Order: sequence, then C-alpha cells, then structure tokens
Amino acid sequence: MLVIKNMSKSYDGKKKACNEVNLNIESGDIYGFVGHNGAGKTTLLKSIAGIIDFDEGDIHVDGKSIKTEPLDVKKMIAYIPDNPDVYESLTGIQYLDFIADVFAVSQDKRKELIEKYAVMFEIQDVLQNPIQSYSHGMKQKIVLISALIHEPKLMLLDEPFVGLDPKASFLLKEVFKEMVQKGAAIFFSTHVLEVVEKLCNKVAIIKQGKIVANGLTEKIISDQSLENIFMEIAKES
Amino acid sequence: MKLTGLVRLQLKNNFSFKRFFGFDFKKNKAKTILMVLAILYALVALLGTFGYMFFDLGKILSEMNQVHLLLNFAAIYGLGFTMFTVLLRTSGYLFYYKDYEILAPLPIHTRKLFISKLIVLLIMIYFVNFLITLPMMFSYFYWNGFNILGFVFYLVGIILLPLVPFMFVSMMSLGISLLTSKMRYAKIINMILMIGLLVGFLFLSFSMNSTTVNPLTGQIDLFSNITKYYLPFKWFNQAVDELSFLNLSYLLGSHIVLFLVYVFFVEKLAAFTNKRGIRTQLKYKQKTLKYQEKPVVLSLVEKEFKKFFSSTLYALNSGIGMVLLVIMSVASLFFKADIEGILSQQIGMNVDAEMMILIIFGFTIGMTYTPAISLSLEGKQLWVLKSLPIKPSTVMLSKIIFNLLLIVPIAYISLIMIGISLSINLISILIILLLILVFAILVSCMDAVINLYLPKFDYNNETEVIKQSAAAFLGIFGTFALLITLGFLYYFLSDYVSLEINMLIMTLVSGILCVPFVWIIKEKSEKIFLNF
Repeated sequence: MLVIKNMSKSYDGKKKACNEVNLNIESGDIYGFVGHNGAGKTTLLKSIAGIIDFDEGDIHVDGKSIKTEPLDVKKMIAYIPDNPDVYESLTGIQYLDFIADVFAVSQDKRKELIEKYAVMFEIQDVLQNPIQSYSHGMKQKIVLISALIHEPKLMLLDEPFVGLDPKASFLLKEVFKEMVQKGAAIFFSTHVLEVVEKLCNKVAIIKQGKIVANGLTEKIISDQSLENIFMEIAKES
Repeated sequence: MKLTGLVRLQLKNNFSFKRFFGFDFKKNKAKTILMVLAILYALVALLGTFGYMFFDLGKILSEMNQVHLLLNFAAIYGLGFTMFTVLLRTSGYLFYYKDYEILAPLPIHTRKLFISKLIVLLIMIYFVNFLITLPMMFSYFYWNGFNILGFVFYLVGIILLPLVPFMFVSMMSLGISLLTSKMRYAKIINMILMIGLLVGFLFLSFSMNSTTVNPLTGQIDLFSNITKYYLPFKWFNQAVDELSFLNLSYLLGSHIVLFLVYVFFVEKLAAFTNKRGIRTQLKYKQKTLKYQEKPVVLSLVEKEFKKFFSSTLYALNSGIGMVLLVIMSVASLFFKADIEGILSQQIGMNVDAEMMILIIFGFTIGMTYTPAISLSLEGKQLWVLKSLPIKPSTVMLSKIIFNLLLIVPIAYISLIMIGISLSINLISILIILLLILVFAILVSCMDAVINLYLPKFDYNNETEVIKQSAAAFLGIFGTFALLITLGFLYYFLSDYVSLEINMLIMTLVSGILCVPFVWIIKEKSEKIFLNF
C-alpha cells in the first residue's frame, strides 16, 4: 500500500529532518509512529501526503509515486494534521460538502457517510453552525469526518487523539479497525505509547530523522513495555 | 518587564520586516532587491502624484492668500485615516486582543499591557498619518515659507490631533463589537456601517464641489466648515500659521488631560472586556441538511465568496474599488453636469472622455486585489488545499475567477450607467467592455502570480496580509504600472489611429501581457506550492 524508499528531507540543506527513511505499510495495517518532538514524524507524514517536497528517495501509494502522480495519490489518501485548522467562515456541512466535491463523492454516498459519522461523533446538531463557533474537539471531529467521507485507502494522521474526548477516542479506534478490515491502512503518529501497544499491529520509532526500529509491535516490544524501549532508544546517542 | 521592552516586543511581533515581506532578507537577496525597487517605485509614484496635486493646490491657495487651508487638509486627512484605522482595529488591539491568553498569566500590570497596546496602535497611526500628510506639509511650508518653530508646532499638532478621534472612535468600535456580537450577520452589518461612513464622506465632499481641474479644490469648502466648528483644528491651524503659543497650549492641555482620563478609565474597561471575551453563544436555526454536488472550481469559488464576506477587513479593503465604482456611476446620473464639466476640461487638455473613464475603471480594478492576498489568507488552513487532489493551478484559477466575478458584473453595470449618462457611443462602450474584461483578467493573473511568489501564511492578524503585506502593496501598485504602460501606448498612438482602434490595441496588449502570468500559474504553481 505505502512504500517509502530511502526518503530524505532537509529544510536548511544541512540537517536532515528525515534521513533515508524506509518503510513498508500494507493493507490492513494500523501502523503507529512514535518519536520525540522534532524527530521528523510530521515531516514524513506531510511528505507522504504531498504537502511538502522531499530531496531524495521516493514514496509510492498503491504503486503510484507522490512525486510524479501527486493527484492520483491524493485521491487515495486522507491526511489529518495535528492542529485542526479549517475554513472558519464555512459551516460544518459546507466544509464537508466542499471536501466531498473535491473527491467527487456522489450525493447519496456523502449523505450516507456524513450522517453516519456525524451521529457517531455527536456533532450532527452543529453541522449548520459556522466552524468558528466550534470547540477544538469539534473541529477535530469535522476534520476526521472529512477524511472519512471519501473512504480513503490510506489514512495519515498526526496526533489524532489530541483534543478528542474519551468517547470520541474510543470511536476513532473502532473506525480504524473497521477501515483496516475493509482493506485500508492507517499510519499515525502519537506520543501515547499505550495506544500503540493496544491498537497497532506495527510500529515505527524515529529518532533524529532515522527510523531506528520498526516492524510488528509484539516483536518490537517483546517482553518489555514500549515506554521502556522508547526511553532506551532515546538514551542512545 | 519594562514598558519599553513590552512595546519593542509587540512592534517586532507586528511590524518586523520579516512579517511585512514574508521572507528573510539575508536568505533572499534577489527578492530583497526587487522588493526595494518596487517600494521605491511605489513611494515615488504615490508621493509624486499626491505631491503634485497638493503642490498645485498650494499654488492656487497661495494666489488666494489661503495657504493655511493646507493645514486643514493635513488635519482632516489624518483624522480620516485615524478614524478608519481605529474603527477597524481597536477592538482587536485593545479590547479583545489575540495574545491576551499569553500575556494575561504573566506578572505584568494590566495598565502596562494596555498602555503598550495603545502605544503600538498609535505608532502605526502616526507613521501612516505622517506619510499621508507629507505632501500637504511640504506644500504648506513651500508656499508659506519654512520656519522651525512652525514646523515643531506642526509636528506637535499632528501627534496630538488624532487623540480625540482615537478616544471617541475606539469607544464607538467597542460599542459596535458589543452590539453586533450577538447578531448572526455582524460582519455584514459592520461592513455596511463602514461603507455608509465612507459614502457619507464622499457625498459631502462631492456635493460641496465646484467644478475645477484639481479634484482637491472641491474639498476646500468642506474642510473649512469642519475647521470652523471643531476647535482643535482651529487651534492647530492658528498655532502653526500664526505661531501662536496660546493656541498650542489649548491643544496640548485639552488633549493631554482628556487622554490621561481616557487611559485611566479605559484601561479598566479593556481589562474587563479581555477577561470576559467577545464570544457569545449564537443560536443557529436547524434546517434539514442539504447535500449538493458541485464541480471543484465552483466549490472553490464559493469558498472564496464565504471567506470574503466573513471578514469586514478583507471585503472593505479589497472590495472598496467596486463600491466606489457603483457610487460614481450612480452619482453620474445625478451630477451629470458636474462630470461633463470636469471631463470637458480634461478633453480640452487632449484627453478623451473614454480615457478618463478607463483610468477610473483601471484604478478601481487595481483596488480589487483579492488574488494578491487570498492565497496568503489560506494561512494555517493551507494544508487543506495542499493535501487534497486539486491542482495548484486550479486553486489559483478559482481565485482569479472569484476576483473577476467581483469586478466584471459591477464594472459592466457601472459602465453602462456612465455611458448612458455621458452619451458615449455604442461602439466605444462595446470596446471598453472588452478592454475592461481583458484588463481585469490581466490584473487578476498578475496579482495571483505576485501572491504565489510573495505569500505570507504566518500572521497574527489578517490586517498584516490585507493591508501590510508586500503582495498587497505590489498588487495595487503593479496595476498602476500597467495603467501607466497603457497610458503611454494611448499617448503615442493617439496621433495615428482613432480612439476605437487605440482602445482595441490596448485590449490586445493587455491580452498579450496576460500570457506570461498564465504560463507561470499553469507551469510553476505546482512546484511553488510544494515549497510553501
């Protein structure tokens, strides 16, 4: 599904934010991505989503390169940033309609999915209100719904659980499971290591732009906790 | 923390060169050189044009022995700018400032915070007021004779005079914010209020106008009347013109006392309003949800419309050209004789009436510069467009279409009204319609390219993009450069071809000038987008 080959990116031409990253994410994977602040998590997620350019290597989604066929790749993915900054002048439903228009989601399909997820995340009553009147959590939910209404094959999420209430967090995890059952893949960054342990079948740890561990979560953890492993990796210079 | 440190920090945060230009000087030398050249050109063009007009006015007034009236112009232009700035910005600067949550928990006295905000706002007003009144000041001291004491009195006056309107309008601005905060269409109501004020001012100015070549002479009567009834202007005028210490002390005493009282009371009010916040829970009608499928471009254009009408600042600044055009065209039906009088004098100077109309339309089109700022206004939301499967060129196209939708219908209706009012022949009207369309496309494409190369996504307040960004500046003055280019073309060809052919050539040249901009948007925007 997602193949990252020797991907490198530097913002200043000196220090590499991502350094020869290699990753392979398959359909059905819920892939956790952990690392300290400034390790390169957001840079990698943004590069996969085609938001920023990268210097070396390539990224393929379903065999298509984000460098040469960005529109085809973007049609298959959904990206959710760490901060839900969306068009505040639009109402919730106008924003969702806009995203559905971009992905050419049919009227019936968008109605079905918007209603399903709006009810699930309990924001159906505020869809006609301007987004500027929403709380942080409500904005997070509207961004989540916008990512789900075109049924992406690959979902990229940067700290998706920040700002969500416990019920919404639980529901989001259920949505992840439902999506991967249908053949999609999820790749998300988080600082909540317990979520990775319980939810992800695979995990990657990034340190100073390099992937220092990745693979099946149970193999990486072995008989330790992910927190211990993370701390050990952090200590190593 | 000392007050000076606080002020310095806020000035840096609001007005640093990096914030203005959106890039680092040291890292972008070529861009810096281009920007410096553009700014020099703009300053020379602006100060040159207004400088000439006020110099000419000074000459007329000198012949009438009324040069002191130029001081009224300086005072009232300063007042006008102060009032509009305060009306638009005080709410966000003093009563509901965005960094309140950062500053409030710090061990800084609320009075110190308030005074620092006040100083920053005043510095901005003084800086722009000084630039605006520079041509008037120069003309006054040229025709009246320069003396140091008069100049010092003038500077003191220019510092003091904005204070009373500042106090009055800031309270009005707070009142409007409080009154409209519970209204669903608060932004539109604000917009109508602002436009009403502007139209009122223009109407007063126009209705007292006696037909002359220099449009500024029409404001003499109005400004003389205002000065008669508003004492501080009278004190200022007499202090500078007659070097009267007594009038200067009236001005100093009254303004300083009033301002100290204002600071004492309003500081507490500002602390209260910032604590309370403006956010009020509005009740929205719950209707049945409607789902509508639309083409992407239409969806993007619709988004642009929503953004435009949701921001008073955006709509007022980049839409004022079209509002003025409507007012002028409606006025042309009622003040036909006056306009014909002005035009006949210009025609007497070998300028065709059609050209005068085209210059007016050109300026108003230039003032509708949404493509020069709308990409920047995506700000923190840019990730949405970048992550979606939309070509960057399509995004830019939607911004151009939106600008054309703002310009073309209004320009066409206005032209037809002016055409009927001034009995312009049908062929000329048809050619002007075509020229306006092509020129609007040219300006919109040029503005879009400017914003592609000079974006400013990192801002605290939309004002930084709409009024203070390099792209906005270049967008407006770039149009003036295009107008000058077409003006030269008209001037050199007018001896050889008829006016109609001349206008068709201008249309063709405008069309040709579009080509490089369209090419950049089509071929380069994808790469540029990735670097944002």
